[in-house]
Parts: sequence; C-alpha cells; structure tokens
Amino acid sequence: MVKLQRIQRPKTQRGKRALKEREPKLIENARSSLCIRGNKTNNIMKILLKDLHLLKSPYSKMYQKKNPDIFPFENTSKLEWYCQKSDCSLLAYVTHSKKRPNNLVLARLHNHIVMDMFEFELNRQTFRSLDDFKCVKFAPGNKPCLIFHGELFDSEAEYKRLKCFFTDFFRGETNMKEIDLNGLEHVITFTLDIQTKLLTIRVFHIELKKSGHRIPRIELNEIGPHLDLTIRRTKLASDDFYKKTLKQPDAIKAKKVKNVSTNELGTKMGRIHMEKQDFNQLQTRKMKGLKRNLPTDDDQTQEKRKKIDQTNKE
Amino acid sequence: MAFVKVVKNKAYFKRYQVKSKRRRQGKTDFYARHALIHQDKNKYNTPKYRLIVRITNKDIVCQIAYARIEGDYIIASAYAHELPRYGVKLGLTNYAAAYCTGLLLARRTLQKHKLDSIYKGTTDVTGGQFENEAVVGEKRPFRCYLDVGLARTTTGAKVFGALKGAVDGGLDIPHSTRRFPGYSQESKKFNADVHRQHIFGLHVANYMTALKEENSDLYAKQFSRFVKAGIEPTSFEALYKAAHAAIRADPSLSPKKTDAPKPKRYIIFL
Repeated sequence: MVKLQRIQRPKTQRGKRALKEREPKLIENARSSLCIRGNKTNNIMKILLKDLHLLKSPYSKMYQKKNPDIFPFENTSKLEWYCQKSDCSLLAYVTHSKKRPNNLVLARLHNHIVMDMFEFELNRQTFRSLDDFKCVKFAPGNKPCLIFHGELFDSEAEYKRLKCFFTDFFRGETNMKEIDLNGLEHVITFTLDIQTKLLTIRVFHIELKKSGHRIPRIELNEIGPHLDLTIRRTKLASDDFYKKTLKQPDAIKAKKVKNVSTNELGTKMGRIHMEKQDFNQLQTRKMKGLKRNLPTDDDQTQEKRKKIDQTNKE
Repeated sequence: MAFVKVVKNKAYFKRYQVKSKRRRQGKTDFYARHALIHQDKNKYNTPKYRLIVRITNKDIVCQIAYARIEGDYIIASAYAHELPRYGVKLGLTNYAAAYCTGLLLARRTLQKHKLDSIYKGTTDVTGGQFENEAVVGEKRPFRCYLDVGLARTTTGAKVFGALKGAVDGGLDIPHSTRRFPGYSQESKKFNADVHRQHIFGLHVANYMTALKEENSDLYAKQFSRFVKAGIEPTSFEALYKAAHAAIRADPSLSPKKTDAPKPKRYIIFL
C-alpha cells in the first residue's frame, strides 16, 4: 500500500526557518551524523556509539532507543528515513550478535540515499573509550587534523574510498577560508596495516610547547577513543552514482574574469580590445583656434586690439 | 461513534525520544548555550569563556566556565555566601551583593591568571559606562561573555549587577548600559547616579528609612535581622565601600575547613 505523505507547510516562522535549514543550498551545512542502535547491542558498543557522538559534538544526533528490523546490507530504507527525519547525512549503526560480534556500520548518504557503507568489527580487548582517558579534551565543534598512515590508502580503490569516507565523516564545518593554527586542538590518525588489514584509530590532543624559535614544539597526548577495527563488509557506491555526487552547481564555480591580470607588484592590469576607428571622424576636445574656417581680422576685432594696447601702455 | 486513532499508543511510547536531561529539567536554554559556546570556525583559538550568573532565593552564584566535549570546566567561582568574610553579613541577594560577588569573581580570576596587577578595573564606582581596555605591551584583558541562563533580562535586573561588578573588577565583558538600573526607556538616557545608588544598596537604605517613619511595626518585621545586627540605613555606603576594598585586598579562596575524619564504625550482623 502506498503511504500518502502530505507536503508539510510550515505554520510558524520558526518552522519555516527549520525547513529552510534543511533545503539544499549552494554551500551545504556541515554533515551531521546519526548515531543509532540496532536491536541487540552490548555495553561496549553502546559506549563506542556515545564516543562517536561526542567526537562529532554539535554535528551529531543520537537516538536513544533500540531499532528492530534494520539490516543495513539488505534494506537501507528505514535508515534512510531516519536520516531524512533528523536531517543527517552520515550514519553510525551499532549491533552485537553471535554471528557478527561488536559490529559497527558507518555509512554516508547523498540526497538521503545510502552511498558508501562500511562494516567493522571492533576489537573488544583493546578498546578504550573517552572516559578511560582522564584529561582535558577539545572544545565541541572543533575541526580535527586527519592523518592517514599506510600505503593501502593510496593504492587500492576500496581503501581510497575509505580514506575519502573518513575525511567526510570527521571533517566538520567546511564553509571557511582560513583556520587559526591555535584552534587545531586534536588529531585523528588512521593507520592501515598492509598484512593484517587492521585499521587503528587514535585521537590525540595537540599541545604547542615553547621551543627556542617561532615555531612551537608539538606534543601529542592521547585523549579519545582507542579503536582497533577489522573491515568486514563494504558496499561502495557505483561509479555513476559517485560521479553524480561530485557534480557541483554552476553558481558555485569560480567565474573567470577575462582580460584582467595582476602583475608582480600587485597592480591590476586590464586589456582593452579596440574596434577599427576612422581617425578623420574622431571626437576630440574642440579648440577654437584649430578650427578650419577661422574668422579673419575684420574691423571690429582691430578696434578691440587697439583698445587693449592702449590700456596696456597705461 | 467514529473510530479515533489513539496517537499515544504502545508504538509511540516505544519510539519516543526524550529531550536531553537539562532540557527536561528546564534548566538549560540550548539555543542560548549554542551561541555562547560555539566559536566561528575561522577564528577559534582562545577558548570562549562565559560568566555564569545564577540567582537563587538565598544565594548568588557567579562562575567562569569553558566548554569541552566531556563537559564544562569551571575556572573560578564566587558565591554570595562568601561575602560575610568581607563584611557584608545581610542582604546577600540584593543588587549590592550581586555587585560584590561579581567583583570578587573578577579579582579571583585575574589573580589566578596573574593579570590582577595589570587590570585593576575601577575603584572609583560611579555606575557609569566603564570598559577594560588592553594595556599596550602586556597580556590582553580576560574576555568572557555573560550567561544569564533563564533569567529575564529586564532593566535593573540583579544579573547585570554581577556583570557590573565583574567589569569594574577588571574583566572584559561586552555590554551596554541599557539594562542597568537608571536607564530610562522613555528618554533613552542612562542616569549613572541611580545605578551608583543601587550598587551601594542605597535603594534598600531609602526604603528602610521611609518604612521606619511610616510604620515601625512593619519595619521591625521586614528588617528584623538588620535591627538585630545593628545595621543602620546610613551605614550602607560605608559598609559596601569597605567590602569592595576588602575584596580587592584579598580575593583568594579561604581554605576549606576539614575536620578530622571520624573513625568509621562498621556494624556487622552475623
């Protein structure tokens, strides 16, 4: 049976603003992640989900209750609906079962349709959560520094996409031109071992200490969740879909201004291309003396001249 | 009878997502909190500090805090119940007490950050507009933003008394005189002298003298503790001036009194 979905028209100004916030824009908002539990989770996975939610602090929504009948690799419609409801384009889904223990699914969506999906197994023994590190962490909403170790991230297609995915997941706000170096408070490192294909995620806090010269000495303190993940299944977007997501609207593209250049001194130089001119018909300043048909000295002017000469003598 | 669908059925309660704890308790306004905490991403270096002022029925709480993902950290705090140490024993929730608490917090924070000799604020309390400007060649003043919480920001509210105390103490807090007592909405003019009277509790003192003449029984009932302590309305200004000076002299926290731990007695039932 087809469900009729009424188009919601906002009744209040606040509702109108909320709907406008969700509209597609030229420069999109920061990607929000939806942290959601499956039907059965154990305590470790709940803690992991909470940590992922905190890492992405204001750009993250957490659903409290468990959600049955979600099988991400078979049918993504329920997850897509939840993401549409809460206006999120990233997904962190957590379950635990006998067949797939300590399961974490990370996904990203484009236009509320699942694009890439990665399933990981968390190593329960080596997991340490945010609470296990007793130190000051970073301010909410800060952008992290992302470091990817491992040749696989550049060579194989699947891992290239994984790198792109993680950048998208943890990036945060993108609409800015400059970043203050002092504000880069934390680093997230992703290390992929070639033999074991084990992905380790560590989060560090950057401390700038005094060194002899202008550039400060950097010290890293581990703060955040300490994860060892093994990749289970992946579902990557097809090439056509991926290409579609990379399209940018024309309005964003930088407009090339022709015939204007800046030289090394900083002066703005322009080129003007002239059309063919007939120099006989040019429009110039009109000076009476240069007129072709000059009036000759007649009686009036001669008398005027005499008068002037007389006054000058006196 | 028409069949009505029960909206709040079992499925509804199973899926209902409660609001966050502080929102359920009605204690935090998250819209205001978001504005106070989140930095513009292209100028985030210094942490955004907020001056939290909360006024309860019997106390005034002033704290300076900054936000981290694991929770907020408090740098310094000052309470109105610390004021008896500086000579203000009664009237701990009035405008003058709010000013003293703000002043105490400011001096305490600056002492902690070793800025107290550079930024002294103003000892000459006029009630007028005062801003702490950066001293050239030294560290910049401590900047924070006022967080009133859910208090109603009317003209003459006590939260702004704490704000004025903090600013006069040396903190850099952006504000205007529009909400201080003494600002008249009709003429859009600020009368600093009225504000000064509020800072020294003279509005209470005037009421005391008026009530004493008018109805001495009611006066004895309303200001019974003042009568018992022997505080006259004429002594208010001197009292608060002395308190301000005492706060500036020693704003540090008094050490907590720790009694010798009582030996624990375990009663074991066999």
